Amino acid sequence: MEAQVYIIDDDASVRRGLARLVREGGHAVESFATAEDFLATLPAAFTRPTCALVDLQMPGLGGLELQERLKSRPCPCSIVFVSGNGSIPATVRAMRGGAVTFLTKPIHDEDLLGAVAEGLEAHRRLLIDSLQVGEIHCRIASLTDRERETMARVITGMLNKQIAGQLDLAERTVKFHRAKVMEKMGVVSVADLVRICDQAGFAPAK
Amino acid sequence: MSAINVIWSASMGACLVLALMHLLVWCRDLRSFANLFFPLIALGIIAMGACELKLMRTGSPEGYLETVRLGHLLFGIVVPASLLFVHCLFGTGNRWLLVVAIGLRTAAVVANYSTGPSLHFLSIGSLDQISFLGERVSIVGEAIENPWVRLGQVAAIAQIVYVADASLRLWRRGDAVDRHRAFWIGGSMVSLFLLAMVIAGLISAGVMRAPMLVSFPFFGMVVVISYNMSRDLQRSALLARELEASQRRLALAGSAGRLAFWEWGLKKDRIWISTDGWAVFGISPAADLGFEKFMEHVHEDDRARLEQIVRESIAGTGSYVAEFRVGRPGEPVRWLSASGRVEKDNAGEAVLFRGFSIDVTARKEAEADAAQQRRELAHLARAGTLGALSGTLAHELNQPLAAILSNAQVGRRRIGSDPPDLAEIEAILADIVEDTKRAGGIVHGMRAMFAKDTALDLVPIDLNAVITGSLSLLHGEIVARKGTVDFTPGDPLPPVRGSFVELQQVLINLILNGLDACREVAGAGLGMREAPSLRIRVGPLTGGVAIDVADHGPGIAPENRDRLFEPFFSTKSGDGGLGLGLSISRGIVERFGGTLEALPPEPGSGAVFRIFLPAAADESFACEAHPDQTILKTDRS
Repeated sequence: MEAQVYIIDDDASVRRGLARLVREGGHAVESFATAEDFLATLPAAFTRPTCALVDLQMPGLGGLELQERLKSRPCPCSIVFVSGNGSIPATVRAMRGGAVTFLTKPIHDEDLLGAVAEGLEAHRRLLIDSLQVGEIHCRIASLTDRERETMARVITGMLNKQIAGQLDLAERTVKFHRAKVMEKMGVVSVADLVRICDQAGFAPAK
Repeated sequence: MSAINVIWSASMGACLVLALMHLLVWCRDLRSFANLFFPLIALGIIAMGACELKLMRTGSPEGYLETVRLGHLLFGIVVPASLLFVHCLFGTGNRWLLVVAIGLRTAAVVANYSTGPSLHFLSIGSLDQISFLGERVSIVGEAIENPWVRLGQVAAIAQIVYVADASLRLWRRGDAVDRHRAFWIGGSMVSLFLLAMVIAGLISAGVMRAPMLVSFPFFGMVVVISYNMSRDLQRSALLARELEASQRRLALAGSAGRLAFWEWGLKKDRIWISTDGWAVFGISPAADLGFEKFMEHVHEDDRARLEQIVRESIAGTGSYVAEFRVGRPGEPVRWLSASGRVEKDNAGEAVLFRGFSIDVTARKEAEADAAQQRRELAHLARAGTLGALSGTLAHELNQPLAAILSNAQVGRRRIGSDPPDLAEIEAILADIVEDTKRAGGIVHGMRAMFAKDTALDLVPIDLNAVITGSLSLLHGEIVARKGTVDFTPGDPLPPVRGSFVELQQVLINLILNGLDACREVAGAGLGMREAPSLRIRVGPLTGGVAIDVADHGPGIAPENRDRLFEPFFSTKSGDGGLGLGLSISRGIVERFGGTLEALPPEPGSGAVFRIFLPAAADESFACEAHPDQTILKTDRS
């Protein structure tokens, strides 16, 4: 998968210089003068590892606001902040908001390329993770209601007898559903089942 | 003892004394022609008196005729002298009448010699003896009258008309002194001329049997004139005393106030300076001071300018005002303020330049001190503003540096590749050059703002460039505050006079104030977190250029409008500042001959500040280039 780097900076020559450098690192680059332009051209979902180099101070939508907007999207791309004079509060906000790092201009090429690489890697992992979660969701979707009810109780560590009691079923039936769940979810142990359910955010029964 | 001898001699002696007195006056003042003609009249009358004496004592008709002829010649001198005397003294006589009267009198003298033994008589048959003042004197007995005597009478009428006319004019035109003169001199001349004419007519017609007594009325005339002229002498003495007092007062004022009075005779190029005045100019007193020599004492930097002012005064309106320095190299320099007037003669040619000069060194030094302090205060304010902007300015400077660093690093990598991509490297270098210029421009702008001594001389300035320069210095600050400034450089403006940096300081101050005002609205929690936005408009306004800086803040409270420009007045809360910004800004603008004011508020808008600067007088001045464009000439080509 080819990586994509976006540069959002209101200063044209900074944009050009950074773009050259990033291209030198072997990544596809696209530059925007404002955060609004960037958001407008962004596809609905990121399909390849993406890292955005964002200037903290821009007319209109600033870097931190852009970060907020991106977070509301699925699998938001990594953000590397660059700034001429970042205040400590702004830096703290940026990092807590999940930025890869915060670089101060002028930026050394290795620092920049390192940060970009880090950001791309982080996003790649995120994408892969999200792909896996998608798969798990598919499997969950293939379960029947009974099977889902059973699974929600299995992952809490309940015994078949207890499940049968709660769902008002025969213990044999529960056993049957449980084997189906293990098969459909593609796991061999309860421990694996607990892990992927957790990964997919499947809530255990209360 | 003969009564006739006593009377005639006494009268003649009196006339002689008066004649000599006025002759002496004339010798002192050769231009006072009245004083020359008066002795002529008096001497002529003395001679006529002598003729009359001789007529009374003569025995033969031949001798009588000869003496009458001589008398007419003398009369021919006295009358023109009298007329010219009136002409000079009154200055109102009709020239043509004068010429006619003198011409007729001259013709009578000619007739006196050409038409017979005398103008009066063709012949005298016999003389009679009558008793006169207790003596036996001769008078004409039988005689034949010369018809040409009418010419003499016409001449007499002409001279009376002339004097009467001149006197009337003087009476109408003049003040009390002139009227007095017209009445006494003119009146006495007219009446005594008439009297003499009547007496001579009666005697020659044989109606009146008396000796020729023509000189007697003229003795009277001399006395009246002399009395009148002596009033002039009295007045002169009075004037002399007043003049002396006035000179003393002037000298006192001169020495007390370091004041020099001077006169420059333009024809002979001689400069007179009052006694205490020499020290004011720093020149040692010299009788032969000319303009060239005087100019040597003027400070060399001021010479050309002063000379031009002087020439213009002489050629133009004649009034002269100048400030210049004196002191040759090595001498202490002093400032003089001079004013004066050129006086012209009747032909309109400048003849005299008169005036005074005051030593104003102390005032100039105080002015310079005050100006220096104002500049230092402005500089401190500027430095303070820049200090407050340092964060955003660093950001502004960082932008090109960041671009340069990235480009340089890419360039280094590209050079290492094989084969090196020369086209790309060229583009990279071009970008580096541009960004270096930009960084240099920012540093230059900052350094100019930090510079303590701005140019003392005001230079023509393009306000579009000032606004652009201010906005570029403030770019980071405006972005950091999420503000927008609406400004598009308009058509070329007439240049104004000022200092680029200080005008920029004023503008930066107004823009920052405007941004602060918008923040106040946002801070007041009116619900709308509106981004601060300013509008700057620039354009020509009668006689100059106006810049309006408008914000969307709460505007200026009416109770604050009057105090806005007072020092240490601030409505900003907290760390808003010292309240010196507007007061210093107004000081700067006023130093450039302009005004800074808050325009009357309009409903729904914030404050509007207007800078007005008068257009530079000489529009042929090219506008000073924007400083950013003049640095770093390292162009790629």
